[in-house]
Amino acid sequence: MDNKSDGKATASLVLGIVSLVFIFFGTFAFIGMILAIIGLVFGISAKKENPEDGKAKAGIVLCIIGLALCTISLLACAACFASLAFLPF
Amino acid sequence: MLPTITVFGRTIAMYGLMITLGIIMGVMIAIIRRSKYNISKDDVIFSSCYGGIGLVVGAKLLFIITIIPTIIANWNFIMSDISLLNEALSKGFVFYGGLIGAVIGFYIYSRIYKIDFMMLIDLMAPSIPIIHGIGRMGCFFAGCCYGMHYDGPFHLVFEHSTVAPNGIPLFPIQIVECVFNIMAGILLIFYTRRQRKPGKAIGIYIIYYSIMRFLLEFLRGDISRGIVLNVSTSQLISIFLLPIGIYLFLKPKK
Repeated sequence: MDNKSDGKATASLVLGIVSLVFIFFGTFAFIGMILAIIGLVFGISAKKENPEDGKAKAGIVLCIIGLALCTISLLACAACFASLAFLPF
Repeated sequence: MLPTITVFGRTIAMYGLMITLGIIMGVMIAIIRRSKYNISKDDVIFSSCYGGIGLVVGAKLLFIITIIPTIIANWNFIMSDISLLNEALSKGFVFYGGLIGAVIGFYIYSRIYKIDFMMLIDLMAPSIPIIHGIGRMGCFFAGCCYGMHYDGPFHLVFEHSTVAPNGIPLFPIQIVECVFNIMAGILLIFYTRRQRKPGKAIGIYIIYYSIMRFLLEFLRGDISRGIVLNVSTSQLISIFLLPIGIYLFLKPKK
């Protein structure tokens, strides 16, 4: 396994773990979403370079879980423009 | 109806939960159907991640674009309390932006990892309306994307919604859209049981959805959405997407 691929896999694993922490931070879950997205890109790239890389696989799984849970805790409503209800127009 | 549920002491928004469930189901359907398209399981999952990222970014971006005139009109009011801007930007997603973003996500993945884009997007075609249909159930639970005033059979009356007008009978547009979307997904699964030329399945979906969405927009009651040239943003996008769908269906890749 080359260092570049291993670095990406490690980054993916770390970002996946950190993104999971942000589930408990309310509206700051969007930071977890961003970290999980970056981790996914790294993890997928590492897995493509070395399909047997277990660390990359773990990173991808953690990032997917982190992204899903952060999305669940953040998304309140879609296409509802309720957020504009406070405006006086 | 049921905007949030409490699990182990944590409040979870039903909308986010339904969208996530929809995505999981859509990806599973694509994994089951992938053999005909010669696309590996890893590629289905990884491309779905790219598509999912595009979906969130696109849906948010289109929402921000549609509220720019409102933000400009209320600039002084918003600037008096900057948290209002944060409030406006932290909520609201538009499906069409998500669809376009997801397609761009799939395209980027197919270019990076050398996969036939049209095959990939055709594989995902039935999953898109199924994800959307389940997401619409999330709208139903949250009370958003509600219908026009209507007191005929099957009308809905919200009692504790923070979005829809409470105590007023409304057309059940969320359920109608959910049914039409799930139906589209099932029909596309049957349509693609036979080998079709790349582009046909996604072409049919775009034709179907753009016509359906254009018509159903007239039954929507949440009028404080983007209006351009007397039609809603979604109707305008439908008008532009319909010829693209027809092109993909009639002129598939050889």
